[in-house]
Amino acid sequence: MREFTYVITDPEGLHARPAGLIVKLAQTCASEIHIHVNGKSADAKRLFSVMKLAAKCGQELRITVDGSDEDAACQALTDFCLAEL
Amino acid sequence: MKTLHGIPASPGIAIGPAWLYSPDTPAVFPQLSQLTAEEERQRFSQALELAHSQLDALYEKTSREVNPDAAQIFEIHKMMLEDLDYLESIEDHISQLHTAEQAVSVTGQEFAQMLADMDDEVMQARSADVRDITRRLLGILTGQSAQPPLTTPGVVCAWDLFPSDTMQLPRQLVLGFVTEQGSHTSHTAILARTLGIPAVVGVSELTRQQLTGEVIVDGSQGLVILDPDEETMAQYRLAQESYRQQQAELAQYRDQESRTKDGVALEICANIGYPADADHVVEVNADGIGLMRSEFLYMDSPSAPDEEAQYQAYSQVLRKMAGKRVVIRTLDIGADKVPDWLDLPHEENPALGWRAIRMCLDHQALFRTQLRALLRASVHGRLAIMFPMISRLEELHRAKELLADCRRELEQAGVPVSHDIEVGMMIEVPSAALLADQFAPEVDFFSIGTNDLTQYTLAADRLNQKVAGLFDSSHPSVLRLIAHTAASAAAQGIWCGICGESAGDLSLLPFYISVGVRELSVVPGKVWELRRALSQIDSTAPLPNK
Repeated sequence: MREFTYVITDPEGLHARPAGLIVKLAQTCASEIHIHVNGKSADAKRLFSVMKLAAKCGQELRITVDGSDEDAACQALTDFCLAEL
Repeated sequence: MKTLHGIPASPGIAIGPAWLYSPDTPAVFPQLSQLTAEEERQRFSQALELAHSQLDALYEKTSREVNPDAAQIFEIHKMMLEDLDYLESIEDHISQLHTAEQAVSVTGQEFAQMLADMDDEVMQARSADVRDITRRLLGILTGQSAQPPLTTPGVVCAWDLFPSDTMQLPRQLVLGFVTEQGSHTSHTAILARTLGIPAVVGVSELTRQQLTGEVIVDGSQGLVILDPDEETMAQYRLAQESYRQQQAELAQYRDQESRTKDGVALEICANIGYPADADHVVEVNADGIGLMRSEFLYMDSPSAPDEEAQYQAYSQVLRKMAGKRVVIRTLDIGADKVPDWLDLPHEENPALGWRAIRMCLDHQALFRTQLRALLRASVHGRLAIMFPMISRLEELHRAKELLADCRRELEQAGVPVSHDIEVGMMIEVPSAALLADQFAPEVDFFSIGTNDLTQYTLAADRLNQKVAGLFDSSHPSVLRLIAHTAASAAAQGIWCGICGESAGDLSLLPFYISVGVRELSVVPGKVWELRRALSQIDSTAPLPNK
């Protein structure tokens, strides 16, 4: 299993558009991916689940990746966070 | 005649017959199925397929007619329809022998309610999207279409509008939007602004009115006038015409160079407070960002923002501006603007107190974090760093030393830093303006903050009603300081700009040009107006006596 943390800098937080994009990206990965923030966690492949996190600007996401493509998935998710969040 | 007040959501004036849009008439359907669960599953999956193709078409249309960003929402709708939690809930109902309609309806209500109950405005607004997809599926399953189509031009009045409503309505027939719900940032408001359709939202009691006659929408003032009398109607027809002419004329300045009639080039830039505002700057095609305030990072955050968060925010703006200059002002807070996590003592006179560069120089860890983030971000575009509130040379020296020190630290660690960063200062304290000739050899640019410069020069607090009349950015004393600053810059061969509010004062434009100011930074919405005014000025003409 791999994991990384990222602090959201988008002033609107993890709102619908980036939530949609991250779910889309997660769905292309074979690994199990979870997002943890604020003591809650969500299956990154489920949109409503990610939206329910209501992660805001300045909060730290911990993303865990577990599965056969975890290195590539972790890299792709890191790039995504840097570019979109 | 009756006047209703709401939130101005998209400027302009619309006049036409009211058209009440109420698509939420509930569809009628049985709850329990006469068919097998397998047959209901079939019906649902066929409806789902059709919904997807409708959303694809809406996505296409919105991308083409508005922009791909606005179309994103329909991608989100598609993803909601594919969400496993959502589909599992529907399957659950169908397996209990509910009709597909009942399954969709109950699931939709549950999910919409879940979002509406969240303690987060952004997510609450998404519950409208769930109701939108629910309505779409029910429409397909029952074959019932609730609303007769709009066939003649009208003003759309509704309790609320979903993104799909806004896009599905025939655009050439929609004169304006008025809704009872909504805020300045709701989808309808954003789309209306992008499409240039006047809109007023948040009009309470709207749908309780008799909406059968003519209606005037004043999207700039946030007014909705029902059944206007003849005089009001005539006034608004004139206002509408002049607004249209003005807009059409201004839009030509989007792609024009910022030059005077006789060819003197200036930069007309924009001020921003948040990274997302950079999109608007790109839209109006400003020549750069003349002032990006960095306070948002500090004020909106539960703790001091770390280097990485700042690096991301600055990089995002630099990339969006694609090589145009971005002037980022270092932290400018004091006792009048204090983030929760910083414990600043109360001050009797915060404007003259421990603020901006004074605080940063005392709080070096905080300042270094910002400087390092700026330096790291510099490789993503054309960065200029600006120090606020400098009143003495020593402060500038110390700030520059810290910056050089942070650069050395990063370079030793092998972190790339651009070699073309401009370093400048705000001229907002009279002492700095008076000594501009001594400051000029030390910086790459000056940017005059006319709000503070005026307040300090005339000793007048413009927020104090009793002395607000004394606050005058065109007072000869202020203009003399501006002239001295610009002349000192020119003598040293550096540029001088203005980023205070009076940068947008058209009556001062000939003066600014004559003294050698070469950059003006204003709110994005004023860029075209300023560019037009500039194009009409002959810099060789004598100035009117002031």
